[in-house]
Amino acid sequence: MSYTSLNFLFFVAITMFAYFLLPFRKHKWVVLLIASYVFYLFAGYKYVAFILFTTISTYLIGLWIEKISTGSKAKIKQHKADWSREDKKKYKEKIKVRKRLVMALCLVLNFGILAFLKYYNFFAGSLNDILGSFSIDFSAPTLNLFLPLGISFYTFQSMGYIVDVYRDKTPAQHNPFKFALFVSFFPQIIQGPISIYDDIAHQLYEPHSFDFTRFKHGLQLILWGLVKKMILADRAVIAINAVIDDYNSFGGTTLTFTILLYALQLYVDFSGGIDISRGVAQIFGINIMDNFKRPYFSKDINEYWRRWHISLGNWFKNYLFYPLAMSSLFINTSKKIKNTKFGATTAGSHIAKVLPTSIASFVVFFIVGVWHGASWKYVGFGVWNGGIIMLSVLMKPVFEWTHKKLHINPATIPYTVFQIFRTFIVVLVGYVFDVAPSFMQAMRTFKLFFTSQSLSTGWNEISTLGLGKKDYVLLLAGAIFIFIISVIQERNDKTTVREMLDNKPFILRWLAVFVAIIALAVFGIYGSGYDAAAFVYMQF
Amino acid sequence: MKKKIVTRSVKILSLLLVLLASIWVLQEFVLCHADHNRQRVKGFYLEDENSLDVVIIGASEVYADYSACHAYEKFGFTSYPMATQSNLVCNYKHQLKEIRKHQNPKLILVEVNGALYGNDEKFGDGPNFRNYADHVPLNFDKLELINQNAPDDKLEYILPIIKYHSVWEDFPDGLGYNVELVKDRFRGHTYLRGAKTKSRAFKPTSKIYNEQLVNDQTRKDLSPLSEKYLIEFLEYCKEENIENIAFVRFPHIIVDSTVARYYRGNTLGDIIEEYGYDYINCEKDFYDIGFDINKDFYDVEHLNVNGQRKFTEYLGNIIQNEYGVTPTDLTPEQKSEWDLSLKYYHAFCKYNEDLMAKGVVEEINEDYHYVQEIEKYLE
Repeated sequence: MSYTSLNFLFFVAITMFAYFLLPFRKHKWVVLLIASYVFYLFAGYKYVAFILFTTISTYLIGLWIEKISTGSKAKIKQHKADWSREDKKKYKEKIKVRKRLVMALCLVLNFGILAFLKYYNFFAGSLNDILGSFSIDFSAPTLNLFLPLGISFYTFQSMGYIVDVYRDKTPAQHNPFKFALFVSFFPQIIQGPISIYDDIAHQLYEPHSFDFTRFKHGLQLILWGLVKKMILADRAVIAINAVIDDYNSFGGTTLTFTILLYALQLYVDFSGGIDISRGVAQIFGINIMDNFKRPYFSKDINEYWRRWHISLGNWFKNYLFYPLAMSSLFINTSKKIKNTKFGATTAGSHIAKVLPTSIASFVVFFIVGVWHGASWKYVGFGVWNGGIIMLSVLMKPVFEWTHKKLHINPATIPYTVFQIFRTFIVVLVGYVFDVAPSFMQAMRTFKLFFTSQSLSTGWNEISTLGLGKKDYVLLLAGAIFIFIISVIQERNDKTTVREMLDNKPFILRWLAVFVAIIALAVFGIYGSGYDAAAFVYMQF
Repeated sequence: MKKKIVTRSVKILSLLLVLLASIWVLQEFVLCHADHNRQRVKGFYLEDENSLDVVIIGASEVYADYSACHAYEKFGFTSYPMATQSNLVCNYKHQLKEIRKHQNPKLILVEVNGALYGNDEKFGDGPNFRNYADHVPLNFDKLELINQNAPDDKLEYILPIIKYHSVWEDFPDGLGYNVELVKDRFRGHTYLRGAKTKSRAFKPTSKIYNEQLVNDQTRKDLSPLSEKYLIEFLEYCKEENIENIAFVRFPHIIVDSTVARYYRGNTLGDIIEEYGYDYINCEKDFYDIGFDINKDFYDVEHLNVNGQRKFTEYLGNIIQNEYGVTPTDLTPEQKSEWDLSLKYYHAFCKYNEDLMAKGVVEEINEDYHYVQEIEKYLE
């Protein structure tokens, strides 16, 4: 059941009536749980086993970790008088190792399933290629695997929970059904955002009464998401797919245009989907975090990744970056560099200081790249982003020195615009890996950018991509509109456009909604003439 | 508090109403499959209630071979072709229901081409079904029609905007019919009352079988679905005690590829007569009508304006003399509307003759461009 289908709107309406009309206030969350599983069943009954496995294993292991924690605390309390400080330390260390092992079991089990389903064929294929090049007669079988709906998102969300329980940041959930709701909440199952247990769990379980303003804002957000997805994203994807399907036939100009179009499509598709998710959740009184904060206005690539797919960035920051950067290996390496002759120089001191974070960043982005898909091109995507971030951290003093020497004030508007433009180019380079069918094709694309630019050929090619002139005009108008809205949001970060709209006269508010619905009806990509594209991030 | 709820409800309702009205206007006049089929079907609903003496159900033969305006001029009775391109027998029941809901005609004629196809493939043809189903008003009968006959996504037939919302990409080129649809609505009728033609005199080059087949009694089976729908329709007519109905086969040039259809026509005539209804097979009267094969057809299946006038007079005579249809007393307003249509029909014929004399082949219908051309010939 697609978020953009009429079925989904009916489904939400029915769930809403059931939720708000249910007389048992304390058990309203049960409606959400049932709805979430019904929604999941619509995707296919065979997927349910996977989400159930993650739910049950994480739930039980969460309880197990908590039991170890409480047991150890009780034991320490019991032996308060007779244990020395050393004994207590030793015991705590032992408990920590035990908890870590139990947590690792959960991580291995769940990430193992994800990795197997997502990467097995990639590794088998790569292994066969390598062995084949050495003429070794062995062939790892490739399997007909499928990816259960939202497996990345619910696995990451559940594993975040288990780490938080391990860190004693959050108590384990004792009600298996409540925990099942946290894992499967339907508005966010398809493409996130990946929520943190502490942020969302209490909202899911608390009873919420109907609130008209919240309902109105939720609907407005859904409408805005649908406009982005159905008018812009699903239109742009027609041309993008036409290029991907026949990638070798196009020259540099068309590929440049496709990458630019992809930048628009990916943003409106993903953020549109998140808007729909947030809007639906908001109707039920649940505030899901926003996953985007005008990412194309970022002044450097680090900032871009703080504004793009924020929940994934947060997840990696909390559960991978910090543990890595703060690990004894990284810290000791940093100390070792500091104690060398090189470490005594200005450059050496800087490198010793930032090396743990820059290497951790590189590792994180390498994994983010691989998370996007099982292909060498995504490895390239990860290396590109990780490499740029690592370089930007390491080279920071050089940039500052250059600014000083050239009397550049980074706070000026022209320089800010330059930074935004520069970052956008860096992002576009990363997108080449996404769009190109393979790593080698991505490399070829970079070459074509410089060797095969022709406006007349480009225009001729672009006009064969399944979209007419009017479609391109519509996409351009849409991009300008999104840009204007983004500028308004950027200037008033604390207020949403919907809240701003609330302060406008009734007729203006009414007109905005009216125009959006009519635009959707007229310009939306739907019906049998079209094959509505699935959300891009659904595949990850 | 109560006042706030009332105000809010009024606001929401007004938004919903304006939205629905806007979407309806878009669906009806702008984002629709606007063509001659739509104009003709919509035109039927624009006719004043109970103002038509004769209604003819059928496919393209009906609007190409018969002119309601010419029949009005020659016989005085009012008529209308409830016909769409490749209209199939499975739609007849719905058409009959709609006719009886809006009119009380003295005679309903059913041209049977829609039951004579050699196989059932046409029944799974969505675009063909849309030629009729997209243009009839939404009501329970339409839902039944869609439920029984729609070959694909049923919702798209209930809300055609789902299918046609992307036609804006053809604008302004595709707006010719849309403009006329709006103008028809304000005028209250179409100019040509459903007639359409092609400015061409067809010159047959292959063997013609019409003369040879006049007395040929060979029978061939109807396709299974054609037979099933025909019998359902006849049963329905019986159940409803409909007596003012007759079946007719319009004239065609019979060539190699259509001989089998002629034989199926013989079988069909037997079935119809078994139910006690008349079957007027004008293919057998082909030469009595007085056609000049080299001048009166625009292709083997359809007559041009010359043939249209000849056949209208021939059929009109049958309607008047054999079925006793006499003209209803029209109100002065209705009469002036029909007189206006007649003026346009005269201009339409002249325009056609002019084009044929120049050897220019065009499909002449009632879209904006052709109305402009026809109006140049108005007297």
